[in-house]
Amino acid sequence: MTNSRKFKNFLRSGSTLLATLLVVFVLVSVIAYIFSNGWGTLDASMFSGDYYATNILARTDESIEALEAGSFDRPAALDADIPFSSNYGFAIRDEVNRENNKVQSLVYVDPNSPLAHNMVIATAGNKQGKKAPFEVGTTLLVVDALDLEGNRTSHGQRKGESAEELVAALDETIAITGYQSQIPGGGIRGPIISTLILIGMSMLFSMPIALSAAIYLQRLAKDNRFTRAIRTSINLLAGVPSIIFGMMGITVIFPIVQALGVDGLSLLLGSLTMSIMLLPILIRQSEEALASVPPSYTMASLALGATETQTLFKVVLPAALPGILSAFLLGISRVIGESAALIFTIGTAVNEAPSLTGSGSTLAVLIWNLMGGETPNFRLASAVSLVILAIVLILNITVKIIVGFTRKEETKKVF
Amino acid sequence: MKGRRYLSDRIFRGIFLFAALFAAAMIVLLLVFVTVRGIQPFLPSYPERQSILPFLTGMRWRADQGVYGVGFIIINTLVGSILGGLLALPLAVLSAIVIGRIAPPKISQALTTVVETLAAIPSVVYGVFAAGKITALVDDIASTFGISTYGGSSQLAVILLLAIMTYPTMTSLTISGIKAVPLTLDSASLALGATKMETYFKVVIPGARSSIFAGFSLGLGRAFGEATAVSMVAGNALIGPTTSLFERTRTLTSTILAGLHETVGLDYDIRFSVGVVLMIIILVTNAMIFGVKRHFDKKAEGK
Amino acid sequence: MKFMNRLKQNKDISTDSDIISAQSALVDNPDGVAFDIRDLNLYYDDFQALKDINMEIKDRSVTAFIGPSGCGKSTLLRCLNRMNDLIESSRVEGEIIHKGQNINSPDTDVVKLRTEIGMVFQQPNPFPKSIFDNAAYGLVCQGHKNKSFLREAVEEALIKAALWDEVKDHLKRNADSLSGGQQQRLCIARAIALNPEIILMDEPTSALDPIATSRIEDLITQLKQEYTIVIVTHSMSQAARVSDETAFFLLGDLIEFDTTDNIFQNPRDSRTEDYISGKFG
Repeated sequence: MTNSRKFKNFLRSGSTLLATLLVVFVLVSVIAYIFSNGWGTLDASMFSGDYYATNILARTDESIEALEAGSFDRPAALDADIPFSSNYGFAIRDEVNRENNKVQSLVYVDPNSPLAHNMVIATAGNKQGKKAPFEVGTTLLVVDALDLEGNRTSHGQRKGESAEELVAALDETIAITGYQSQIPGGGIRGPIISTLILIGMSMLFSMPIALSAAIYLQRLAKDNRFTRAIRTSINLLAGVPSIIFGMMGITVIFPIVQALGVDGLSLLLGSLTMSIMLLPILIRQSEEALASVPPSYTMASLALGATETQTLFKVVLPAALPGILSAFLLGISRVIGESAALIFTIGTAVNEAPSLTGSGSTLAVLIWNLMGGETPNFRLASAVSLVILAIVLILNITVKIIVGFTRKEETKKVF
Repeated sequence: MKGRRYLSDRIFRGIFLFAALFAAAMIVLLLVFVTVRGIQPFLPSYPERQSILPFLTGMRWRADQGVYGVGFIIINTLVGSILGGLLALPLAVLSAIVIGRIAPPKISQALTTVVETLAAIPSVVYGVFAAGKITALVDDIASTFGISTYGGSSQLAVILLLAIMTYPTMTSLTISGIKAVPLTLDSASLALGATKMETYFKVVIPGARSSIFAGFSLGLGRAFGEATAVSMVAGNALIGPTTSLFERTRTLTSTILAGLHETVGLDYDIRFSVGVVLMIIILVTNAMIFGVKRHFDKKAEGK
Repeated sequence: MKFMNRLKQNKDISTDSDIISAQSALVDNPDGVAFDIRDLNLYYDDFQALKDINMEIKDRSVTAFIGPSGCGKSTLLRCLNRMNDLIESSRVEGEIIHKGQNINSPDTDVVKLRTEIGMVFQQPNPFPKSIFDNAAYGLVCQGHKNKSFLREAVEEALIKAALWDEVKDHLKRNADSLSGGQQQRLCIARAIALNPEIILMDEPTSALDPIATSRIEDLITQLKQEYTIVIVTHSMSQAARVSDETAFFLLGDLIEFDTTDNIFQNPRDSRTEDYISGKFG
């Protein structure tokens, strides 16, 4: 071989290798970035917690006027650099929470600490008078205390003190009269429920239509101009960007939903929009599933005197079930990842207790919301991304396994 | 008994036909209703009536001053999407040839999974990555040239993001195109004393040409319509067109999304007009790509 | 022979060692043997496809491999230009001496070997390119860029492959537009363009109609003046018509190898007789 030919070959194989490595590198970087930013923020309380923080104003209950300082031992397991109040039996430290705010949050509360028992909520509302939560994770804003002379003093973050300064100041007091705290927000329970409602309703609306249309196109339609027109229309629909589907939701579906008595943006509007957006994908996947059923099954069934309908429901659909299930799972993963169409139709504000007729924010929309403000909250956005990513990947792997399994079965049949 | 059974066939046939018609009708509904809504601001009956020409050719988008011009936004969208697509195309073709021909089955399967995973990652997640990592990269690059950026939000960031996001679409189509090239052509080329690499580049890739075109046009469609991720890194420039890679940009989609929930009236309605422009651009580009493909096919056929 | 001179000239100008050695390929094999196959065994994983094959394939003659499907005849053919390398599970033992070198040795430059040994496949497999690009493909791969050189080489090859008159006016047309027989002749032209010594043909007419087949057979008879041709065929009448020597294979064994006349008129082995008389196959 001439040198120039060898060099060209070297360039060609080098470029393919480089391109492939670059692609793998991109995937690894995306996952690593999301993981490294999100993993630290992810904990169990995030899944069950409220999105919005709750402020608590606590005062001593009727039995006593002030909580007197006691003497508590620092637990051995506690890190030495975390400030511990031996007077009142709690440990607190400075940290940045899920909502990207600097806070002082409790890392340890002694079981006998008076703060955990003798404080009630003073804020007006249905929880007034109930025991105030003083637990690990609660953030302390300000503490009202009596100093050694018995004068009222206030300490804490709101007074510009660090956790260490707060503890040092409290050690110079004799009693606590009240405090303001916050149960931190950044929980995604609401968005999770919204997402589940949206998945359920979207699939409920779109799957039957998609499957029926697929049956028509795959098994009944003749190859004529009419069928080709239907196919072209569905293919065109597949090429429409999701943000346009959002607009369609507002212009076409909104009046219908309104006529049903649901006004404003709602999960119902969102799921109807999603179900139309899913149609082309679900139809294509279902068609593939139906096409994988050997025609000999149909022949055999019809030859035994079964009707078309009987053949379809008793032979064809059961045989196509793995493929249809794959379509279903892929549809779900599309709903979970969708954002643009939903920003138009369900709104962006988080709803702590979402319902079908109310607005809400799914996990994906929440991410967009978190990134959209003046100061994007990368940590929470990454944590939610991590959740979405995990679900979507699991769904895709499941589909792969189903497809791989059915392929294997088919090869077995051939040999 | 017999009659009833046949009736059930007829009923179900009707249901299935209706479902197919319903799905097909959606594109018509979508086009008609979004277009009707989109041209509202230009009708005489509209209170703050806009004129079409300034809207289409305008180089300023100042919602605060009531000035809406999408001319520069169209240019920015085209430049960002096409450059992003062109960046992804060689990567897609080169890695597809690795997956379709070069790599041994196990590695090929693993790489297919990589492509599928990239395709499955939702666009908001790409957005978070882009806003965190790509903008930082762009900022670094800019500062080596002594240019300062708006925190990395720039045309270049949009291009890189769209290259990543269009890559899986292009690749999966290219892979199936490459797999459809018969292996007998490889044998013929090798038997003529071509090396494996020459065979891949001169026979297999040209043989997958039409799939590569299809992948490119689908990828471009995705790039034009990509909304949430792009809006996180575009920076939403107020005037344009953007001439430097490191300047902020504004795409049709980022314009539609910006401040969507704090607005009413003209500022809300005009977004539908932008949506109509987006649909037209996608249609025109697809038609053009189709035309280019026809031209190439004809050339290949030597007619 | 204008083209041959041109090719030689072109090679003389070039100082490249490859092309000079390609030129030596034009020199006759001194002993009149194109391939000396010695104790050749070939396995696909555990399955032995060729068993202890020993044979000499003569220069400038047509050698036919016949036998029922799965007898190893195509496998042996693919050994001659190392195309079996492409099947990962295959393993070869033994030697094939070609021009004093064992082509099975790991030092063999396979790419160069394949430019010296052309191959035509069962299905016509032109590239989805123009007729011209198909015929010029091998030369272009070797780095020839001179347009007029390529044009002459393509013309010469197409003339030799008896296709020139049919396609000379539309060389830019896609090869797919040709008929099956024309496509197969284009594939032969594509191989000839490289000026090989040997052309391997793997059932070249099995996908063609009788008229196209007879044109290819005529072509083979013409080509043997200049080239060594090894042809695998399913059709015994084809072997009888075109070949000088015939080898009969059965289940990986070389049963009988002799002049075609002897094989078809006085087979020594009863299995050969059974096969050619149509008792099995």
